[in-house]
Amino acid sequence: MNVLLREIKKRADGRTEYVDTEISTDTFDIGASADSTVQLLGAGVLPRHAQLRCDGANVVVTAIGRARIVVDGAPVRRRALPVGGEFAIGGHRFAIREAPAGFDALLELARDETVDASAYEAAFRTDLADTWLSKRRAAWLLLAFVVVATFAAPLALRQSGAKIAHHWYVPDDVQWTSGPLAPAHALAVGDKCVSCHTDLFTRVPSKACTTCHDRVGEHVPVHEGAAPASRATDRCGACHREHDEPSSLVVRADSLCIGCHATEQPRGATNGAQLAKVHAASGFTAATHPPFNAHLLVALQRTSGTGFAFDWGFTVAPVASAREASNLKFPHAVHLDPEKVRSNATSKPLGCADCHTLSADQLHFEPITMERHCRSCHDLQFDETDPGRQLPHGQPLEAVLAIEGHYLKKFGDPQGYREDRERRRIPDHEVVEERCTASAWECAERKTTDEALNQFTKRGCVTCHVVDDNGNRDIYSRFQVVPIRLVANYFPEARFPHADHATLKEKTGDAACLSCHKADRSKESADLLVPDVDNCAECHGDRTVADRVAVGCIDCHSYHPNAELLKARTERASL
Amino acid sequence: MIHENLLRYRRARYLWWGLALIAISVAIYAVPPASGARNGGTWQGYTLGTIGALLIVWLAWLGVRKRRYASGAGAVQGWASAHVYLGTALVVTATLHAAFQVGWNVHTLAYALMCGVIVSGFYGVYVYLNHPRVMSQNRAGSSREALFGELFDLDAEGRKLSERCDPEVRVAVETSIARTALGGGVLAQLLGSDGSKFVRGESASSGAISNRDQQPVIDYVADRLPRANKRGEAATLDALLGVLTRRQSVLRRLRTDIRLSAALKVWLYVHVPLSVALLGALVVHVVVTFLYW
Repeated sequence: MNVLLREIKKRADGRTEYVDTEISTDTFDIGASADSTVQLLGAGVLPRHAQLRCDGANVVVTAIGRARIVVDGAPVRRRALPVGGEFAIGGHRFAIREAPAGFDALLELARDETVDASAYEAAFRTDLADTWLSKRRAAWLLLAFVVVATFAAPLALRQSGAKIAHHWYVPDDVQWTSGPLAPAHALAVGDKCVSCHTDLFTRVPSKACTTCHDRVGEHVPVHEGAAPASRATDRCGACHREHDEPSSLVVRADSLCIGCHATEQPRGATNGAQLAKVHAASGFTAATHPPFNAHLLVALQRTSGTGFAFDWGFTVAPVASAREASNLKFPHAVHLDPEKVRSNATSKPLGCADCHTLSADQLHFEPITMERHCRSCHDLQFDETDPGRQLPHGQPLEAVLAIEGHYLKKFGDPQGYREDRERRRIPDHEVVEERCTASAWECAERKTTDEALNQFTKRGCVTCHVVDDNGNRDIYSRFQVVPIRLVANYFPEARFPHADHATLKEKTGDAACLSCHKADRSKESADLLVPDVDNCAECHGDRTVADRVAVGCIDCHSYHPNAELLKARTERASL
Repeated sequence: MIHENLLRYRRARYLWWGLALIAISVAIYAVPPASGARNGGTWQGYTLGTIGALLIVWLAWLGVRKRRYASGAGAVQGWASAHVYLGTALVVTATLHAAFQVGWNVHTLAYALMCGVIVSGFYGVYVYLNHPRVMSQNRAGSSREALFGELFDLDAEGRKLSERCDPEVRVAVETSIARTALGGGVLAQLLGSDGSKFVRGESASSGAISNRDQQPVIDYVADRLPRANKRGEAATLDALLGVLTRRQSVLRRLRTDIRLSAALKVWLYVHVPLSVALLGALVVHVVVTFLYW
């Protein structure tokens, strides 16, 4: 558009001077900045103040931003002015006049002469506050973004139950996580926070855990009587913590156990006073942990029936005073004495590991059996002249019948017997063979009785077994061997990793075993070779100090009953 | 009174406060946690978090305090000194609260915003300590208003002198004054860039060309000086050159002043909005912690 700008200037001599400027521009703007079409100065003029355009005969003036344009004494934002119209910006007055030919408009400008140098700064944008920058606007925008993106949107998505797959750009509640999930949980639950966080402002309920973990044993079995409902550990989350780094899932703090167990707790068992309580424990020192109680077997002879049958029960007794009742005769000291016992195969002294083999669980030992552990030395031969002949083990009646059969054959076939006798004579070994001149049957029966008496009362079975002699004349039913059962696990309520203790300080091998189990001084099998808590406390403590290895409650005890403990509870319940 | 700067306020009293806060935070962090894992969810974590949150609110309160001129709660300079030292110590408290763990979550967002606020604050401390001195040297004892007044007078003088010159010089001088750029947008202020232009009188149709640092127009007028042929024209051009070079000097000072002033203020456009966003993120962080307890 073409505009003729006519400036009215008062000259020093009082006359008025008109200065015309032809302006041909697309955008006609008025402001304090030097690049404005018309530059005005003064306190009330912004760098970019107003824009002008022609609309037919009218001139439309529009304020920019917070600029102020005055028409007829009132501020306007935008006004179409006809010829003769006037407006003011700052102290500067504009008037629209009849446009001469070739022009769209004639603008008359009377500048405010009072503007001085002090207003000159307003012609320029010299402060950041004059730019688009705004602390307030940026603050509100950022605040709104933070609150909407990290709180309102996730909350709305969660409450709506909308199933939107998680991506990094989806503003869901995954961003509320305080740390990664344990890998298995991440796999199973992943981004679905609501699977565990079922209610807002509520800790994760145990129900959320047991939905999947439905086979976790109760700490206190329900059938043993209800535990107090207010226990802190009733909630899975009390001990199991997610989102920790590094991920551990199990809080190992002793305080969680000691919270209840610092005082004696009822076990809820229905029988046996010694089982009804869980002793108080507040740490792992000889002073704060109760002495160990061993879980022992007892053979109970049935009073009814044949009179020689046993039921196996269990008893709990303090380690310090407990005696084993396995019915086995076995002096550990003799077997560990190189002067008395050496291996048949290697002639080396016996060691612990010759009989005790760690089981696959690294906690306990393989069962001791006659066949595997005793027989290589303690064979079952009964006739020196026939060393290949062995008694059957574990069947007393069969053993007597085997002896009888052997001698019947021997005496019933004198020819064979003599030849055999000559052939097997051992040099320098005088065998006083009792000559029997009676019938072969009688000789065999007499020999059978003698040998059975020998086996059951002098040497043979009786060496290791407790033999019951009822004095019956009938040799077949006179002797009964009391059965042997060895305890497989003295502490079903605790775990002790034997494998980890195979090396103790500077001790290894048998020395390590003997430092806790005084087997080399045990003369009878009734000795319980299990150490008490003070023995453990020599190396362990409940906190990290220089001369102790720290152990927590759950290093030995488990909160959820394991298979061993469940078995022990069943056995105890059957007492 | 000898001028004390922000950091040396009352013999750096708040430096010791900051160090004490760091020591307390480290001591709390050093207590072994019962569960074995250190994080914001232990009692140590909650304690450090509470200290940090209260501190953030107090630090943000400086924005309110500095506007309350009637307050009796200590000098603003003391507040600012404490603001700097305790704000710096907050890095330690918050990092230990988080136990050095970060992730893509709202908690780390709050931490990152806090770090942004503190880093921008470090820049702020630097410019507050350094720039006022440099600016006052640049203005050589004058003020910005005085410099603008001088520029205004020089502009008027230049225009008046140019009226006595031939039209080409007049156009050049008039346009160089009209198209003098000072300040401007954010970048122009921060970088002190000069977008001034002028129109060479004899080639007005080709439009405005760069007049960076006013040197082109000075060269243009100086170039005319040897060719002056009218009586008195050389003297006028000489006087005009004097005005233009004085103008150049004033504009340089103003441009430097605007640049330094922008640098002195620009960090607040980061510091303040980030602080407000941090307050929001802090509230979300705390609420969310208990929302998914």
